[in-house]
Amino acid sequence: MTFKQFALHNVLRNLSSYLAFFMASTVSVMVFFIFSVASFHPDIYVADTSTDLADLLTIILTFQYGCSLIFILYSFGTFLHRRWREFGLLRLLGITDLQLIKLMFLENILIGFISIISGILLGLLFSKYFFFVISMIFQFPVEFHLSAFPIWFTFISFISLFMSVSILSPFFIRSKNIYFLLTKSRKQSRQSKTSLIQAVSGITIILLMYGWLVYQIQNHDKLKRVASTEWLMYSGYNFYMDIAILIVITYLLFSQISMLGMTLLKRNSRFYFYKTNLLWISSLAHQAKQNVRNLFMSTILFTVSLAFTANLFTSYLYTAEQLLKEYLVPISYLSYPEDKHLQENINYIDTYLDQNEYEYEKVQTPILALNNLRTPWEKTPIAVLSNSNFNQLARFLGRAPISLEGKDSLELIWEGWGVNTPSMFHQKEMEVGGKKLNIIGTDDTPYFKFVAQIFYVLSDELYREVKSSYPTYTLVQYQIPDWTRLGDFSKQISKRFNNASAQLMTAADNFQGELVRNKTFFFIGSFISILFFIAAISFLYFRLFANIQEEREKYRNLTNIGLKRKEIKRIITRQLSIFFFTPFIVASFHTYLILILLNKKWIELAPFDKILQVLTIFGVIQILYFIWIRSKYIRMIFRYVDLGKS
Amino acid sequence: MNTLELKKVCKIYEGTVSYQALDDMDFTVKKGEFVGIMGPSGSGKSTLLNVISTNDFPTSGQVFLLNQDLHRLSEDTLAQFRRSNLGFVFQDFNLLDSLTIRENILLPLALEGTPFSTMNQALQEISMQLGISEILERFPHEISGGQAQRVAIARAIIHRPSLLLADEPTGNLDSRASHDVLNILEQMNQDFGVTILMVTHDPIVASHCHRVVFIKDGRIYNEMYRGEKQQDFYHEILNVLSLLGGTRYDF
Repeated sequence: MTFKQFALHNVLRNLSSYLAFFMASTVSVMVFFIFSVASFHPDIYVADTSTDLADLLTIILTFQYGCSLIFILYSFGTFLHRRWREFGLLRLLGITDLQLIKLMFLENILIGFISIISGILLGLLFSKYFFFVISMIFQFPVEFHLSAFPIWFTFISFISLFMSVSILSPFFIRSKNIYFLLTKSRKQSRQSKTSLIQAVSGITIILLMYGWLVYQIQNHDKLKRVASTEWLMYSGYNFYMDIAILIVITYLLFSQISMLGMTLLKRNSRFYFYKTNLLWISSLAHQAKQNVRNLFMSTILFTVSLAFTANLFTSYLYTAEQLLKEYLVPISYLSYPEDKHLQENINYIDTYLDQNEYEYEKVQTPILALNNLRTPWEKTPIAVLSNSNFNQLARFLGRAPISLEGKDSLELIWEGWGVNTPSMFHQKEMEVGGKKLNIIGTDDTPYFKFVAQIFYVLSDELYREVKSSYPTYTLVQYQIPDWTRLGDFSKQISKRFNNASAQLMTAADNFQGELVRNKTFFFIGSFISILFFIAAISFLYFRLFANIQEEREKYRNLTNIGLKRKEIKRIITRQLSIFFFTPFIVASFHTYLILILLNKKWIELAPFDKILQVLTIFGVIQILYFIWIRSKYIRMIFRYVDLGKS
Repeated sequence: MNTLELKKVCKIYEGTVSYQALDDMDFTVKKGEFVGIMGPSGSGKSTLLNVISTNDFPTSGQVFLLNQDLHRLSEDTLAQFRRSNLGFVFQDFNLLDSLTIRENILLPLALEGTPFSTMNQALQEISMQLGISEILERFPHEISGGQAQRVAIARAIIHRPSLLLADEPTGNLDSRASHDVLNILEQMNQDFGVTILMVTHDPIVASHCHRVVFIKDGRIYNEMYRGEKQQDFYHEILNVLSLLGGTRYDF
């Protein structure tokens, strides 16, 4: 038997233990291949909508390669861990480092080769579907076109990936001595007891952190107005900080709560010493330390996958609502003082809407510009309007009217694009027409967009006094429930009315583009989510099967003592369901939190039922996976238990 | 009254070369006996024990425990029967690493669904008896081999089984610990009337039994009862072993 044959036999005869590693690699190759076929597709560069897509695909390809590297390295690491005894034995028989590297290398190349081939074949199978959906989304035909290049590209990328993994792999085992390798797999780890103080402080931290997140959601507007928390609500770090908090919570949940739970369950002797409870609880507690790491990792991956899909799904569903939030109204027409065609243009729009039977409402608001509204980059644009006009507008937008006297004034701030905090625009003192205003309040919910940064609502008498000293602009805003169908009309009137004397803002002409973009993001995003999801369940899989030998011995002993099959099944089911579903449940809950945090300005854009749909789909996959793994696991245990019998 | 009765038990391992491990074995153990089984490697000791412990099935013949034909029972009834009527002590202790000593000992009672107070009482009694009260909160890897075997004995008899099966219980122990364990087994047998069936190849260990059965090539070769003095019994055992031949015994 030559060395090469030895390596070959090692793989072929242990196929089942290589299976998980093999499947993980295959899926990575498959997804990479599909994306590379798409990014090197000639049609992608032809249509003008697709430049976005090409960029997106290239980014994803790089990102995915990095993830695959980490993922394959990790799965290989756990896989090696399972084989420590084998390596110890080889060491004992005098294998040299170089030979070990060679062995790893050959094995890896073999597995890598097979998984690349099968990954590409699977990829070919699925890319038809992928292209079908892509062409549906972009509404131009992308023929499935296969050139040799993506195949070579995938092949070379992954062969080199497997090679580098196999070159790194001996470092996993080199430093360990033979005794360690031979005995480590059977050595017991001391159970760590959690002190009460540690557990209590852990739980306190968790509760405080959750409390802060919920407080943030509920009091978003309030926090925006307190100087000390305002920067938090507006800085870009805000969301990342929440994510960091969630990660810490996840870790604490598993490390503290799980330990505490175990301790409490154990303390309740009547329950703990009741039938099989003793076995499954102690077994979970026994492996708690290693489990914590794995459960944490897979929870994070589940969360990424679920939150990613759910967010892209809701933003696709609510494309129109989101767009309208940005524009406030579907059509707004700002007429400059020199505009001679205001009435004529408004009539044009009205006529079109009437003829096509659109329901609509409009409001016309005269505005006095304190400085030039057309050059916002020179000076912050400031404008004033009268109390009665404001009330008209407020009613139009469904908000409360006010009444002002004398020099009282309400300050309205449009925060712009959310980069600057509203308080930055707040003026302590303001004069209009030589009269100092008495600012009675500030409102930063938008009444206007794109017109001026700051508005002052003046009492009608004051407004009349100052009216003649400033140029008058007129803003006409439309509410149209069916606005999304106005795409072509919006384009047409934008071209026609946007000139030196008027400015027109329409939401509908961006709608189609936005919708296609969100749809693409959703589709490609769910692809990547599936990758993360597979990574998460692989983590669980590796953890489970890394200990199978130990478990088999245990159940064999227990069978000798007289444990029934039924009871073994019950213990395994309980243990596995805790192992499989806690990460998923925690991840689902965190996904919901993340979505609300992402949409905290407009929570109605992250409705529970839509998120639940996403969670249900993934949940069903998880349940099927659980059923499969459970039966496989039980079969493996029973086969070993029966081995001694004839 | 017979606790255990084997009637014409045969065991043939089928394979490319079939091999008869037990050949028409007739064998009984009375209530309260302490029986040793000796024989060279390959004589069928382990097969006998496996058949009695229902871990293996005889090719033909019957095994009665408390007049119940064991191999007629279904898998789960058998497991139930086994755990309420049999106790096991193994060479390598077979304690569960994830359980403390207390939990290991209580396991058979817990599986039965015994009330917690009863369990605790039984535990206290037995741990006093076996001198392991001090180590109840430890884990198996934190105690010595002798202690581990005592724990295993405690686990095997806490539910008052009709028959205690011991497979080379001193095989992994030094001579002092062996002595301890044997004393405990004898004590259990005398004070509590535990019926014990022990497989060993160590004549010193065997000399603690009331009766020693020698088997060779799957058959009972000889049977001896212990007299007054253990020393004499030991020498008798040695004589039989030298006649049995096949293996040299070093001790």
